[in-house]
Amino acid sequence: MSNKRWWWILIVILMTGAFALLVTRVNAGWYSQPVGQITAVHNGAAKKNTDEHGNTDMQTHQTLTVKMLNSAQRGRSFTTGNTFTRSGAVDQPYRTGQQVFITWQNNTHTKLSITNQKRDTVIVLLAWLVVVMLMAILRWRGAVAIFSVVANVCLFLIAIQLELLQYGASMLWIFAILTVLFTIVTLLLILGWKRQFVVASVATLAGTFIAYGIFILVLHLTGEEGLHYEAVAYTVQQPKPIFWASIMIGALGAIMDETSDISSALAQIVVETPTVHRWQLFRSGMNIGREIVGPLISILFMIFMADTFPMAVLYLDNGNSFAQTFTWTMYLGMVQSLVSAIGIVITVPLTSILSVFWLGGRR
Amino acid sequence: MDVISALGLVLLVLLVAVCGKSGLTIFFGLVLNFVLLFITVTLFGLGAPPIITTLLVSAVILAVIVFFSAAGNRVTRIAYVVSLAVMMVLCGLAWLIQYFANIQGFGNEVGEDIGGFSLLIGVPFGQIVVAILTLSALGAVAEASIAVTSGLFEVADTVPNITPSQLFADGQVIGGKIIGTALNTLFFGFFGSYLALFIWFVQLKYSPGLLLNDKLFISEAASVLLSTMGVVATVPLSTWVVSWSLRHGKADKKKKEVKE
Repeated sequence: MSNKRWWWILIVILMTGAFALLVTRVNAGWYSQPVGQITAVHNGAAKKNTDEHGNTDMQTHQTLTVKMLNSAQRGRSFTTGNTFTRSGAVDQPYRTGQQVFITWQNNTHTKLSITNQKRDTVIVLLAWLVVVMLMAILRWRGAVAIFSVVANVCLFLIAIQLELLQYGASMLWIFAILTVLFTIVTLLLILGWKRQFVVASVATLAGTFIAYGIFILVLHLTGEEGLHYEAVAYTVQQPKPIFWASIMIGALGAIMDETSDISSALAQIVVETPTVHRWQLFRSGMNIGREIVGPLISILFMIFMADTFPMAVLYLDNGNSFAQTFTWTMYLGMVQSLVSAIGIVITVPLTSILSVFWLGGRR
Repeated sequence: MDVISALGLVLLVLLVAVCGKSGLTIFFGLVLNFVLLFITVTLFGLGAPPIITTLLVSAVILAVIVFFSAAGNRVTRIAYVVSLAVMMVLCGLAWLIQYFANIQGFGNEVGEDIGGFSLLIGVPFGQIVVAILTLSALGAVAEASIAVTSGLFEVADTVPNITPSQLFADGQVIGGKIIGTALNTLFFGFFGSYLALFIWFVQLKYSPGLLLNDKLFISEAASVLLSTMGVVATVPLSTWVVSWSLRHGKADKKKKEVKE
């Protein structure tokens, strides 16, 4: 019987995946922008290009046939062109079968150009795969984990909306409040309403804000030497508060990881051996913390640094020195990594000492 | 003194105060990984093939993260093998994502920031995407494999004659906790990294339809999802390798006993 049930579950999973794939291939009608599918590609000869820094690249022009999938022109085919380079920094080659967004080049809708590739199929399938993996390996725990992420995304979006209403004026206050809400919601979902929840929340907030305080203090003492806020990418408002806010929330997850780990392990010890001495409890907390500090720092370091790669390569190949490249592309990511690391390290003694006070243990 | 040196100094002092000698190792590992990443970018700029370079550098970075951590020998050996295997699978998946979604280089949002630059530099940005997706997941995969492996060995030590199915059940419980918290680490890490971009999306009122097809958004989302997959896949794989090594260890011991 259970064998049969598994087959059913497998079939349902595969069906939802196939359904997602199918829907995102035929959903052109959902978009107000005209969508077409590439039905034929003809590539011209590649031309060699050498820029003023001595970089060589190949440029190719392709002639594409696009069959419209929505709008009044649905079903009709048009011919258009596209130029792509081998490096592809801001362009791409097109293949048959790809769906694309287009804009009309004239009012009579006889000429079109491609503006963007339609990518929803890829991201929907990827999200589906992650959900399936989480549910398969964790069952209901996977659902809780997904719920926690969704709840935090909602909080995050509300905060950004609020922040925009204020024209960025009280950004840091909004994110400070957000930090508290994030911490309470997430830790409540991980730990439940227990003593270790209180320990972990207080330790998380203390660790986060102390690290933030150290960051501000260092800025004052060094006169912000070396830091260029102009290097913050994609800013529609003052870059400084955005960067400071990102410093505040960047390490929050890692610090919560740590505080929930340490506090629940220590609570377990108190349950198993109620006669444990307070001092011993503190030392156990420090030992657990020491083991996880290194890998946790690495997680954030890799996230913050890998993101800077395309810009760094562009800087290097446009004749900038290593120092200039580092300052303008990697400096901010490095600062974020360091402040996060400081928060992660300082949280270890904080959690251990708070556990000693609130989880018990012999005096 | 500039901001990075000052923060670095504070971190070094704190690490030594909290972790003692192993704090020095952790700090040294961090510096080493930074140097490795910088060399990688330089190699990309010089025209080295990004995916092969990334696979080689990742193997070294993983070694630094895993072996410089405070975990014991039998834990680190298994954690390294597991995270290496997961990293290779993720690299393959990243290649597939890039092949179908074409998320290389810079999105429309970058605008003036690259206005003065020559973009025809001959470096395959498509392969650099694969490199970024793989590298961003490395820390999370390494952390998860260390945590699951050391958790399972602890269980195996307290219950000496544990059966494989029992170990898998324990692995699921330990893994569940680790995945739950690791998801949060990743989530906030990425939000901290892309805060400016999210404000951009909200302020310019990107519709869901626009967002789900946007080059930049897709590449950030793919990064989070791929790292999550890496962490999730690490749990059963670590459990399987630990259980295999326990059975093997026992078999070896028995053989020795028989010989003696």
